[in-house]
Amino acid sequence: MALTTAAGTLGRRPLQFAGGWEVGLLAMMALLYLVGAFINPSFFGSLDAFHALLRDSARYGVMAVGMTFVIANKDLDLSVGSTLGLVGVTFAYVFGPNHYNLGVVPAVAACLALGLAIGLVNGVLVTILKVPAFIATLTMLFIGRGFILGLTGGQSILYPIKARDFHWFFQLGEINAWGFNNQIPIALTVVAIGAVILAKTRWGYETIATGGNEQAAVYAGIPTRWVRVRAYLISSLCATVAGLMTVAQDKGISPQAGLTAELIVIASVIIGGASILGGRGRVVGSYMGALLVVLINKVLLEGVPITRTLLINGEEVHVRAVYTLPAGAVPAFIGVLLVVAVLIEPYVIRRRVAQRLWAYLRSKPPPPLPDSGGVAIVGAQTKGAMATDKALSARGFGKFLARRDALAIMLTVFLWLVGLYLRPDYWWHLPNTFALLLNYTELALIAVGLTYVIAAGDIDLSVGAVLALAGSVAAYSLKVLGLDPVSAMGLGLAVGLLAGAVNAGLTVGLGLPAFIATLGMFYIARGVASWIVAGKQLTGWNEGYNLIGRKVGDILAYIGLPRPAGLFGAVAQVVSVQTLWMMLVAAIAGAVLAFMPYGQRLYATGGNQRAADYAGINTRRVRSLALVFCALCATMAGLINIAYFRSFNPVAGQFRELDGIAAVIIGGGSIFGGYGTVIGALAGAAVITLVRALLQLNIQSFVMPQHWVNAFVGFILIGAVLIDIWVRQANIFGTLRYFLKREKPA
Amino acid sequence: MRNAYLSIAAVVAGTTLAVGSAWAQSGAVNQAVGGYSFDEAAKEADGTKDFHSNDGVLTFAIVTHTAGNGFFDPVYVGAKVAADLIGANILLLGSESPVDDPAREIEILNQIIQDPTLDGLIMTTPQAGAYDDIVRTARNNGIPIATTNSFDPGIHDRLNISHTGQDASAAAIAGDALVKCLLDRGAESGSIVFPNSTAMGNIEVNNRVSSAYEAAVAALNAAGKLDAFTVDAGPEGVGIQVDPNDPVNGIVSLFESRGDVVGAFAGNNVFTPALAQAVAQTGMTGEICAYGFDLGPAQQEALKSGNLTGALGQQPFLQGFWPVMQLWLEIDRGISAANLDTRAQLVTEETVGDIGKRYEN
Repeated sequence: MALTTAAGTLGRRPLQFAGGWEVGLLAMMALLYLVGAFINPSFFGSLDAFHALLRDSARYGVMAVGMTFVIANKDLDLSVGSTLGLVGVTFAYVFGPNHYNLGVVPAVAACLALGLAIGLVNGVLVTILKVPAFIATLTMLFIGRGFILGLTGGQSILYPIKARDFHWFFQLGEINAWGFNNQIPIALTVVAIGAVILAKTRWGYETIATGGNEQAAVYAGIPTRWVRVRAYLISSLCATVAGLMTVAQDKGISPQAGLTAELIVIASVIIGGASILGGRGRVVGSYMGALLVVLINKVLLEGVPITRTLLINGEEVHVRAVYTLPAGAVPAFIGVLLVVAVLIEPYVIRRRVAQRLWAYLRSKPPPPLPDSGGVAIVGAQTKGAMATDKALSARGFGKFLARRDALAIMLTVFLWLVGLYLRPDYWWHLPNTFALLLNYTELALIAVGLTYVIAAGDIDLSVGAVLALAGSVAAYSLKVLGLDPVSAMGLGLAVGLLAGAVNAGLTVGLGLPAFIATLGMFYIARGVASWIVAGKQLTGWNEGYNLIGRKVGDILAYIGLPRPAGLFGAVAQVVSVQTLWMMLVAAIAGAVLAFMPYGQRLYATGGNQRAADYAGINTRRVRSLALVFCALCATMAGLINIAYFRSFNPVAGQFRELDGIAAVIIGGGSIFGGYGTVIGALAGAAVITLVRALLQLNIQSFVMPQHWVNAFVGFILIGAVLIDIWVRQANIFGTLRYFLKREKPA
Repeated sequence: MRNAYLSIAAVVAGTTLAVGSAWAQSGAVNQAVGGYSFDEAAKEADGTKDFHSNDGVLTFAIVTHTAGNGFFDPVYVGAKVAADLIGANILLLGSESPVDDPAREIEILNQIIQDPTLDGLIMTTPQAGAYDDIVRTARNNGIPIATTNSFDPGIHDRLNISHTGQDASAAAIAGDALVKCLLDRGAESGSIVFPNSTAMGNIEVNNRVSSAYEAAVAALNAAGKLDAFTVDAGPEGVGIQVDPNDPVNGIVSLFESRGDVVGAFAGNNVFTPALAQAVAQTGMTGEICAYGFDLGPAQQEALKSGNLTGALGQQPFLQGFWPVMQLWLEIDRGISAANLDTRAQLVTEETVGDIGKRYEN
């Protein structure tokens, strides 16, 4: 069986584990290492740097092994970071002297059981319950993070003194007698085992076959469902091992452990040559991807010696220091590398650029171009057909229930009624209603843009980062460049739209999967946003700009107009301009999606791009516009954000991408494309906002512990998706009724 | 004899005067504080219990920018203790994020100030300029505000809002202590680093790092040893960028890259336990003068194990306790807003046993 790889077909045995792609990665690492050695010869010139590189990439490398199996299967696992953290918390609970205070063995056993349980839940959700991998594992990420915070109460749990009595275990995270950290051989062992399994065993062939073409694999007799569950088990097991390595090294756990690690691991696997579209992946490449990401981090944080001048008590003092790149440089470079690494395969290797250049230099005829095809593979989707049929035949309230966004709308109403029940004295009052709407506005604006992208069958992970980028540029223009509000807004808008155009160019123009292109933009935009402001807050500019974040009454007062009387006056005092703006954008976007030709083209493109192409729809234009519109919404949110807060904070918009995607999915949007309504997305965003509002509601002087918010959002997300798939689409209750009727003779 | 009579007369006169004044005082004191609860006061003066909410129960809320990293736990404890003392209800709220999240805090504030049963609000203000609308709305709704922990000098109506917290300049104590530690150990050269995540955007933490940095430079300069040391707090003087999501490895990498680190300072509850862990993992316990911030359980453990040389407590218990009391005084007694600087309490391995017994740190 000839397996295609990033470098072509597999050759002899060594190349089955590592090929030309890995050689390229090695060359890039060597180059980076040389740069490091040039900047800091004393560190990079010694073995210490090499040792540090291997040690720091060990845990990412172990997680990348498991992720390679999942990605090669055409699945995804966003839960590995939270699994790592949760394993650490479980260990701390079982082992910690202030908790159960048991030994290492029961603690490790509990961690392994937990890891396998998470893998099993992921696998069952994805294969048996047919939840899209992205959503299933995103849910586990939310729930995992919620549990980490809930169980730790946000505290680090350390046990260095008790750990001294269990040296045999904790030395696994420390330097051994030979002078190197034990995590390195652990990682190398896991990588070796993973590489052999994927490249040389039945499990590996089954994985590649399932990812390459699941239908063909089924016909070939491969139990694809089990293969996919198995990959999730392997992935979770690897995350568990990484979690145990973390506790062995740190002798404790912090609530941040594993935060955003999933993105680093996915980036490593993709840089390592695996295809996000399945059917291709090599464990050694993934490990080298992890090495490369960590090496970039190390080299970019290096600096050159300088002398700084400080004014201390009026006296100029010269201080020896080190010049380093400002905050944000590292993620920006990682984002660029991620995109470039994925582009190299289709545009350089497959097109034989090197061979053609070599032939050109020797004035020889170039080798023929292979059929390059494209990177993106668009599969026909027939999801939701039954629900659509029901919608056509249903009447009255049934017609409403047949809508995919009905659940979110009902849930919104239900949650609002819960609020009313709990606090009838003020919940429904105008000021409280508009306060809730104000909290809802940013997420709703982002969700409107994401609806377009998700309905088109794409995804945008960069919305929170683009929000920060636009805000950062506008704040810098106002504060540092001293521009007027309109120019600053224009500049922020231009940069945000540029980010959207880059997303569109990479996704539609160059054929990268939207997940990868926008993951790259997530890093780049977040990094550049921090870089521009040198990682600091900016505040104190013309109040005229801040009017776009104020209440209508404030604006009237600012321009010297009297407060209107009656209901309009009361509303003006509580309604914010940003809320009105969001409503206007949502109304226009909703109308375009529901009633204009572009909306129908968007659904057609998302439903089945090939069919839409044949129907004469310019699907490339449709998808590009959706991505640019999404970035526009995030940009508007960013420009409003700095006006609302009267300052820019580099953490602006953090985690908004996850909330936004969750809102669209809760609102009935299909992660496969072809469906999604603005009303649904708004209802989804309302559900998330209301869950938070209820958790912080004062009920007879009691409020819920805040740490559990994410767990609640996760449970609602998975509940909404399961109900959509099983109750609406598969009509499980209808089937049940049918069977019950059949068993009873008339 | 005459002298003896005079002495007796003086003693009698003095005793009489003292007894008289004690009588006078005890009446006033008893009336002022002796069990003078709201209920008792209400018997004497109608309207004493007519707080903003007019429901007979004093209800305060404390909202912070991160309930997710443990620093604010003793703040909440302090607020609860104070509320229990005066028979008030207290709502403990904050962003669920483990890292600073002022945006989420403002969401909570937007909602809570609409609650008609709320009589007073305590909040942190880590994002400059972002809280003015909250203050205005709360004022319009009749809810007095006290700020705690992070300080926004330009907040609307600053003069009428009490602040309880530490002036960031107190971090200079750690800068001084760090240099003293180095000189005591006879360090002749090396690097002093200030790891931080400036991208977390907490202006207070950045100011602390700046203060500690400048104090360390000044102390070395005064000792005539500045030229021998590299003192690095990043390009902006607010810290060397380290990944807040993986702070331990970030600091270990920093130590390894610099190669000659002899001193380090971390400015908050995220980086201080990480600094201690990094010291332990690099096997430099006792070799690096490592100073940090806050006195949570992780810091106390690190001080006991010697991985942390010293830590500055900012009296978080008091940052919860005092604003509640302050609001009570404002509401009940009409006492105007007073600021309280909780300063810094430097705790070392020798003194760590004296603190944390009742979760006040």
